[in-house]
Amino acid sequence: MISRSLSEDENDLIGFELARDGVGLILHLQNEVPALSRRQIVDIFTGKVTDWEDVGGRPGRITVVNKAEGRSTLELFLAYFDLGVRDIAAHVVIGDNQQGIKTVAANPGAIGYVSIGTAEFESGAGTPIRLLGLEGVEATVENVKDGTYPLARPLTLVIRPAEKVRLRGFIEFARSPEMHDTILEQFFVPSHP
Amino acid sequence: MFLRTPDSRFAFGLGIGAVCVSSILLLIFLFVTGEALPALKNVGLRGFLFDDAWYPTDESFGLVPMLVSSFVLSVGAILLAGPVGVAAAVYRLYYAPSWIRKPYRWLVLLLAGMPSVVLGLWGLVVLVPLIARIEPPGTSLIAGILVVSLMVAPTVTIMSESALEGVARSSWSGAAALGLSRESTLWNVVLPAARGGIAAGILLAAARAIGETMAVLMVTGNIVQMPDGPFSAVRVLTSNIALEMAYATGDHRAALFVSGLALTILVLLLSLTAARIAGLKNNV
Amino acid sequence: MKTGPYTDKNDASGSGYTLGPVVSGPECCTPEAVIAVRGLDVAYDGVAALKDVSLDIYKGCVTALIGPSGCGKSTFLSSLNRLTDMSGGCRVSGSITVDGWNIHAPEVNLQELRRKVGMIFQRPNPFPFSVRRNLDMPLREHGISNRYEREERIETALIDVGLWDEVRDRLDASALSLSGGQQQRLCIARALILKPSILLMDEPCSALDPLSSATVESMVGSLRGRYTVVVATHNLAQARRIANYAAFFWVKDRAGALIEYDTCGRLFETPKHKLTAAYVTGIAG
Ligand SMILES: Nc1ncnc2c1ncn2[C@@H]1O[C@H](COP(=O)(O)OP(=O)(O)OP(=O)(O)O)[C@@H](O)[C@H]1O
Ligand SMILES: [Mg+2]
Repeated sequence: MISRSLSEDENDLIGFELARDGVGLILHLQNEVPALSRRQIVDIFTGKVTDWEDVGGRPGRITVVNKAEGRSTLELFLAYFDLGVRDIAAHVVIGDNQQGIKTVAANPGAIGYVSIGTAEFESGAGTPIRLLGLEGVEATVENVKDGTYPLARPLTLVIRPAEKVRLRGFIEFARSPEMHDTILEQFFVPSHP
Repeated sequence: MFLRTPDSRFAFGLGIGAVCVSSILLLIFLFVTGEALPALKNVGLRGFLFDDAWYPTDESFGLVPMLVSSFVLSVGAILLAGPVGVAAAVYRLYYAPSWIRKPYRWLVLLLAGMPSVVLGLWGLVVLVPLIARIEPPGTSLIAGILVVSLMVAPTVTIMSESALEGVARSSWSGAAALGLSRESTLWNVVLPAARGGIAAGILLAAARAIGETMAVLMVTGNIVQMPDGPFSAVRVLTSNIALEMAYATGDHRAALFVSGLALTILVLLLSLTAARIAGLKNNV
Repeated sequence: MKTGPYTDKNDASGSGYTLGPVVSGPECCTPEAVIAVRGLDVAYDGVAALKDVSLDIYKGCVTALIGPSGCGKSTFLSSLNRLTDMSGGCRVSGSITVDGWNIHAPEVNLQELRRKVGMIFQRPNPFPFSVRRNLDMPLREHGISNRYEREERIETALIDVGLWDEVRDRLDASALSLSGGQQQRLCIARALILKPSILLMDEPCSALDPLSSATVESMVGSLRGRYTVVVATHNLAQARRIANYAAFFWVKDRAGALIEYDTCGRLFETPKHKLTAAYVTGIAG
């Protein structure tokens, strides 16, 4: 199970997309910035803008929280904003979503990006973070599901080609409506009807 | 036959155990080297040493900043935890009022057994915001040093305590008979007599400090750069592996094994030096 | 700073007592009590170890303490330099004066008392570092800041115990690498280096082989006249060889007591007490 599509040099494997997950920008709950344009986001993440004052917030140093290299969230984020790994001027690099959320929750000047499902769950559970919309679309599981939210990633089941026949039943089951509840429980969005 | 006596059978069993343990270590080392080999071939040692930065998905593999960060962080943690840990042992054994002694011991043992994620979480939620008041964002080398020293100080304390308790009673009475006060007996006789055990404790702590991952990962910011002060964010070798291994493929993955290899070599060098220092001192 | 009896370093900065060469027997000692013990009781955790001991130790003499195991010889010795303070449950009562000063007086400087009253233990207890440091450290602790003076005193002390030629090339080797006899002589040097006037020795030869034992014994003999020596020993022949005075202790009513105290010759040749007679002839003990 991987949270991206298979890359080209992984042609010894076959992938089946099961669900989608949106990547959302998160801020500390106290951060009152209403919305950020694509330009502003790029400027923040490349270090051209270093103070919230410059993007319509209250004065305060911006802490850019980036994902570690190799993470699909990072790849997705970079591809969407048309950036290279070297362009990001990060202050903190984190590993998984939980760590990202904790880092942002502990720092009122931080901005990061994590899986929308996890972020929605955490902020619902009282963690002081909030999700920031993208291009006028709110970052919610709902909007990932109906495809309106632009920054999303596939969750892919991966098998060896040799096992294809043996695993056919399982794959069909994983993509069947019976699995929807389980996928939704994890705040992901099923890819197949 | 050579296995006739119980003693020779026992020795044989112990020998097998020793061979197993050392061959497992050797196998791990070989495995890591084997996994690292493709990267060493494709990138070359020069790449790891002289590349200007660490962007493994963009063909840039500079490991040196992380090596330096690992080294600085553990040396810093030991410089802090060593004296504090020894002082805590001395305090508990010789100065603490008797009603403090037991609870104090429990506290030290508790801290020694504290899972590192818990300490890391504490560092992230309490320590980092405090440091951020001085210099945002707070995730920094100094945060890592503080968390790790808190983590390894109990090791130093526990090892020092047993070394101090092992100092012969006769050394105490000998010193008293020479008219030494308790303080100078401690400083001039007991601590020097226990130096071997204390050094071993500090060495153990250093090994733990350099291998510590989770807590460091949470509080140091993990930016790959040469540390240029206590407040700069750093990434250590262990964090690097933990951060990137889950999703790394190809040369990137092999490069992470090179970090592992570098880490192993760093620990090896550190323990060799420490062993030498301890050995030299014991002959004074 | 306290101005007790042992804060005055003047009389000790010389070479201890120098009463000239000693030929033999107690006659040569100054018949002057340097230590006076009166009604000494010592108890460990409420259990009496010594009861009502009174005796005078004469200046410049060697006084042997003899008696069976557990009769309180070590206890007696360690009450003279107040090493009994080290064991928590130990209570000492009665009076002990050294050079006319009550050692239990509140103004006594314990460090200074112990500098003046040196002690050698049954088991050699050199500190686990170099020979040099074993001797250098006590000097530094007692305020000898001049390095050349310290080196000189180290050499003198080692010559005094006959160790100089054996260790002059190994001063920086660990003291634990010396043989048992050498270690014990090093410990004696360590005590002598502080120029005490009184030396307490608790069976200094019992952990040594016969040869080392003889070396240490003859060394103790050579201290006679220059130092006041109190030595506990199980070796009666040795006591006769080296001591001017002898004190015989015995366990009476489950506590150590002084049975007889006299010149060495009289105590061994014509004991007054029949317990003493039995012990020195090997019938009891
Ligand atoms: N630290 C101590 N705590 C409790 N009791 C002690 C202590 N030291 C000595 N005693 C007791 O005091 C008594 C006298 O002991 P001491 O060591 O003075 O005898 P000793 O004459 O030196 O014997 P030995 O010839 O075996 O050395 C013994 O009954 C002993 O058990
Ligand atoms: Mg004894």
